[in-house]
Amino acid sequence: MRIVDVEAIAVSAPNPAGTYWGKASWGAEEQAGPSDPLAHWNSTQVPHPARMRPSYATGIDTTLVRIETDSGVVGWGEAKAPVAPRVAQLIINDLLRDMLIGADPRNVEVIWETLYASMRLRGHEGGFLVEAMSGVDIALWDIIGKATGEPIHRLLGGAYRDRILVYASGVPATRAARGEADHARMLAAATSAVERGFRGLKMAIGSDPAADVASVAAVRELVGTDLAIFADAAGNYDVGKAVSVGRELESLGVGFLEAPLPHEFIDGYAEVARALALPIANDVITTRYQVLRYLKAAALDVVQPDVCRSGGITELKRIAVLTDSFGVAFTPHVSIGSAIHFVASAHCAAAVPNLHQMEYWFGTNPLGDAILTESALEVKDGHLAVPQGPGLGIEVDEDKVRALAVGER
Amino acid sequence: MKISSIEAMVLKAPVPGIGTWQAASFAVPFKFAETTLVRVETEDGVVGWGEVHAPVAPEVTKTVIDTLIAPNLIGLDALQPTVLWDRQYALMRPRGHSLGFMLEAMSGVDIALYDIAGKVLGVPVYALLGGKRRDSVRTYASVLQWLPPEELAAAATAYHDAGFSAMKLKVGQDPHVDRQKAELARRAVGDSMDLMADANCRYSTAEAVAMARVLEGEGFAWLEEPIPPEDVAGYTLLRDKCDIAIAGGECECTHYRFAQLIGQGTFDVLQPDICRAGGITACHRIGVLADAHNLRVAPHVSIGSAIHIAASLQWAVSEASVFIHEFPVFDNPLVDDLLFEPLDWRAGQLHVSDRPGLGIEVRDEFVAEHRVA
Repeated sequence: MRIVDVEAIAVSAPNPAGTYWGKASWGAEEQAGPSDPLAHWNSTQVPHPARMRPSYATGIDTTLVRIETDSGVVGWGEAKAPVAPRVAQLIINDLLRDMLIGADPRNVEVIWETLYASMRLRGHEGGFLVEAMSGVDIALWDIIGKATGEPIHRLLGGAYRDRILVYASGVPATRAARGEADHARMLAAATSAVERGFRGLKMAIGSDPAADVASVAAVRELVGTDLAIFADAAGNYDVGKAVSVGRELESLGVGFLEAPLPHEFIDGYAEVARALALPIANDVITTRYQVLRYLKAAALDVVQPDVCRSGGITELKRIAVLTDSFGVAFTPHVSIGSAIHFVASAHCAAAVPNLHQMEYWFGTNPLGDAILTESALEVKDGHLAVPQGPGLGIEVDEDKVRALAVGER
Repeated sequence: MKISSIEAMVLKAPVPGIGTWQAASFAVPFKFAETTLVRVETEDGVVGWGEVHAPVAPEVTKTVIDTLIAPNLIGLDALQPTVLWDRQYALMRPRGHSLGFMLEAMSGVDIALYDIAGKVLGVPVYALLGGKRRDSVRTYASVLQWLPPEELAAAATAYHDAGFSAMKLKVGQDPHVDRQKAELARRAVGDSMDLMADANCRYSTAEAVAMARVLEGEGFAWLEEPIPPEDVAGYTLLRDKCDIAIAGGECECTHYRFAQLIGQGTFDVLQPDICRAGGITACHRIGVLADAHNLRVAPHVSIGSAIHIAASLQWAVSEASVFIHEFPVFDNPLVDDLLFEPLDWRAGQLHVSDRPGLGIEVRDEFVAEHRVA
């Protein structure tokens, strides 16, 4: 079996919800006002807000990958690209494609290393290259599964579970300055998660310690003690704030604190982890090498690699082995993405012994079931069923994908 | 002084024989000398030039700049390169883009902003970094490809005669051949030249120790990138075990990552590349770290244009820890023909320009001729 065609498709769909939850929590406009992206000059907050404002797209963007073999089998993958999806598209079409054409997709791990080697000595251990590679890798696993008639999780050593406990992700905490309406929106989002049967939800904190704690307390009061609450600070605290907020979150029964510090500060993570009983998590994970640095420093309790960013299924499996060797929990990160992202994560989650839970972005997703011929993402009793069909176990509606394409092939 | 445009452009220039170059660093074969140049313009018409290190797939960093960085910087005040560096880094920070294409793209924009700042204030970039400590920097002839031992020995003699007082050769090919390279090169030049060896991460830790012993015997100045870049613990071990200086860091980015590496005792000689590590802002921060730890810095440049070298030189003359500078020795039109006045290399030294900004004037005609995107 040989690869005969590789195509990356950058897509953008209008966001039916208006504003993506991450943008509502951490975006530049939300923090500074659209007219002045460099406001906060007088802030003495550490880290300085200007250093922590990511770029967000106006729509729901990503880069999908379609790989075709000489036997006619087509595999689909996804490179994480919530902004600038044409970058991953270009990397795949211009740089990786030549290395893939003619290769046997069953050599998926060999191919992974070949692609990584192309920029390894230039230090591309993460970022756009590994995101693009992730999309290719997922498509190759889809092909192998389809060619053998097996679902991907079985190719990974078998399933520990056929449904995955997922938590609802995308409940922005309230900011004091935004007033009552914002508070009401937060409670409505939490209520919706409960009504849809989720057993847990994750709140986007990281603006102001007092407001963050008050938000979590308000949601805890609303949902009671049965529901798990997780909190994601997106790197917006320093060690002192992380520990003091962490103590409050402990008493509110929070399940983990995600990204308390900017990801560069591994020693700081270790300090926070030592100080708190509250498990410390991080989603900013690029390849097993980066994971190993955190693990050796005893800096994390929960590792949250993203299958479309951290190196695909091949790399997530290796990360799972590493985390398991250190007695650390594994949970796939799914903040935003298409149906391919969700089901690829579910296959990994099924095949990993040390699974914690899986993230599930529960907003209206124009790239979710909407790009499939048959629904695959429905959550029942707080669980996502692991697809049992060959490969990813989904059928992508190619016409719908192409209708959302931006940029040239 | 608001930024009115940020233009990224891909340049390709023919280099005879570049397609046949062999070395561990060429996983993707070269076809041309390629690069991404960045041209930033302010509303008042001041133009700054920068460069992204992009020896392969320069279209990628052009797309990063076109679709991500430019839309977020246009309209902002140009005269604040450090603040704008932080703004650029924040765009992808929670997504873990602390290296790779993002930082490479940022490097080009940062250099162009420094060029503008210097031109507006009427001072060379080094003056914005605290002033120059030297008028020129010693360079070493950098041989980028694997050459057979005899050819390498002849090349060493030729570079010595051309005025170089130091040369770096590529090993990491085969321990036996590598040993011959070191011995023959040393025999050819005697004590008249400093020699360094670059393994491009091809050795195991044990092979690296064995090679270090050989190089120590031949009096080499450093062993560069002996083992894979991710193996930080391996570097720490090597530095403990070997007398020869361990060099590395050309693939690394930002002061954050260098702080980690320095803290773990990885390198004696740091080799950030100004067009990859995050531009002048990042390299200046890395330089502060190096100085505080009493480490040495040898700026990396390999395949790039004259802008790359000019920017690196402005930084290098200001930096306390810089003691030598890489200088690739092959005929590269992007270096030789891009500027109205070529770089001032004489008797083994690169002399810095005292004119405002990067101190260079780009030939628009050359750019137009070699631009492909």
